[in-house]
Amino acid sequence: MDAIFNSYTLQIITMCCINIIIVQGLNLISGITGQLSLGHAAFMSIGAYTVTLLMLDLNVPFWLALPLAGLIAGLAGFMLGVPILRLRGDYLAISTLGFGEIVRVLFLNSTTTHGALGISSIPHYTTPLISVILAIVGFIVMFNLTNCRFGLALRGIREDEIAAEMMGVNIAKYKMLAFAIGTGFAGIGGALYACQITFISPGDFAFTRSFEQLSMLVLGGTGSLLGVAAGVIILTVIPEVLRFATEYRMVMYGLALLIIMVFRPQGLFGNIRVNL
Amino acid sequence: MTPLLELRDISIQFGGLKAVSNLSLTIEREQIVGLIGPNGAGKTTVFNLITGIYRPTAGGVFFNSENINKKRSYERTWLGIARTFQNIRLFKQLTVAENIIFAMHYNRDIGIFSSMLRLPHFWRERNEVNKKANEYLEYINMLDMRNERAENLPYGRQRELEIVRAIATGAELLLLDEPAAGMNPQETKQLMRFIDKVRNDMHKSVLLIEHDMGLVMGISDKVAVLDYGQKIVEGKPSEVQHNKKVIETYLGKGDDDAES
Repeated sequence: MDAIFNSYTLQIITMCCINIIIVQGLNLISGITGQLSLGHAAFMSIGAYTVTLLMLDLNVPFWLALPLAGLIAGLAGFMLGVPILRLRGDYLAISTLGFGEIVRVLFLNSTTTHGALGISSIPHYTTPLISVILAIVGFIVMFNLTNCRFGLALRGIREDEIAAEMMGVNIAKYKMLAFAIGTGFAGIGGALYACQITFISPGDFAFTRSFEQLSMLVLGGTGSLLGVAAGVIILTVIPEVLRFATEYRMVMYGLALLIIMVFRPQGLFGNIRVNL
Repeated sequence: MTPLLELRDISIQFGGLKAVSNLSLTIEREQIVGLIGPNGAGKTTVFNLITGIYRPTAGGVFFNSENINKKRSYERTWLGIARTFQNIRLFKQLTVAENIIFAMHYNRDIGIFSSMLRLPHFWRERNEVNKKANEYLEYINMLDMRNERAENLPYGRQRELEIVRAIATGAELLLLDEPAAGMNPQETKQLMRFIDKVRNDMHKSVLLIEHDMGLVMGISDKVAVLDYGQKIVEGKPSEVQHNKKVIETYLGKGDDDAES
C-alpha cells in the first residue's frame, strides 16, 4: 500500500480531485449550457486569492473561507454574465478571455495580493481526503443539477436558444445561473488549490490554465460528467508518467491529445456534439 | 366574447423597408386562420411580431385584450402563445420525451433546491411530468419513440413532435409556420386532419402560414392574404380563392403578361 500511496501519488490524486471540481464547473457552462468560456482560470484565481486573504489577513477559519471563496467567485461569474451573456459563440469566448486577463492583471498590480511576488506560506489545509470528499460531493451536486428541470432548461439552451425561449424559458436568467454555479465550482477548486500548493501568484492563473481546463473537458467528453473525471485524470497523469522522456515530455503530451481528438472527436465519454 | 389575438394596425420597419404595414387581424377562440402570400410578403415577420422576436414600430398586439407589446418572448409563451418554426427547431440531441417535458417548463412546480437534494417532492413531480409527457406522446402515437433522440425521427414525425411540443407549453394559441413544408400530398392530408383534431380535442386556436393551398383552404375558417407587408384580402377560403386581387398577386395581371 505504501508503495502506491506515497506522498507523490497522494499529491497527484489531490490535484486530480481539485481539477475535477474546477472542470465540472466549466462543463456546466460550456458542456451543458453550450457557452464557451476561455476565462475559467480567472474564477479559480478569485477563489484562491479569496481564501488566502481571508485566512491570512482576516484570520477567517478555513472552513468558513472555503465556501466564501466559492460564493465570491460565483458572484463574480454572475456579474460578468450580466453584460456578456448576450454574446454568442466566438464573441463570448473572446470576452471571457479578456475578463480572465483583466483579473490576472488586477492581482498582478494590487498591493494586497503582493503583485507578481505572490503569496507564500498559505496554511496547508487541503488533504487528499478532503479533496476526494469534495470532488465526490461536487459530482453528486452536478449530477442532480443536470438531471432536473434546471438542467433540462440548460441543455435546451445549448441545443437551440431561440426555441428554448419560445418554449417559455428565460434564457438570460438560466445562462447566468449556470455561469454563477460553474464559476462557484472554480472558486472552491481554486481555494483548495491555494491550500494545497501553499503558494499562489497571478502567473499560476494565466490563460494557459484556462486552456488546460478546456482541454481536459474536451478530451474527456464535453457535456459528460464522467468524461470530466476521465479527462482530468488522463491529462494530470500523462505528464507524470512521461517524466522519463525528459525534454520530449510536452511533445508526447501534445501528441496524445492530438491522437485522442482525431479518433474520438466527441471525447472519451462524450455522446453529444457541442458546437462551441 | 373578445378575440383571443388581435393585431391592431401593426407596422414594422427595418431601415427603409416596411416589412409589415398597418396590418390588422383577429383570431377568435378555436378558430383556424390561414396566413398566405408570396415569398417575402412578411408572413414570418408577422409571427415574429406576435411572439416578440420583433416589436412593432407602430400599432399593438393584443392577447386576451391585453397589450403585450412590451412582453418578452418567454413571457408571451407563459400567457399562452406558442409556435413552431419554418425550419424545424427541435432540441435535436434531447430525447423525444425531453423535448415535450422542456415545453412544460413554466407549468412545472419544482425548484432548484428540492431537485438538488432529491426531496420526495422531486420524485413525485418527476412522475407526474413523465405521465403527462406520455399522454402527449400517445396522442401522436409516438410513445414507443420516447427515448429516441429527436434528430433520429423521420422528417414528418419531427414536424408533428414540434407541434405537440408547442401544445405542451399549455398555450391556447398555436402559430404554425409552414407545417407542411417538405411533405408529400399524403402526409399533408394527414397533417391537415391532425391540426383540425388538435383544435377540436384541445380547444386550441391556430394561426397558420402555409404555401400548400389545399391545406390552407381545407381547414381554415378564415384566410388572410399578405403581399408586400400589407393585407390585401381577408375572408372565408371560398371567397379568397376567387378574389381577383389574390389571383393577380400569385399569377400576375393578364395585361402585364401580354406585354412581356
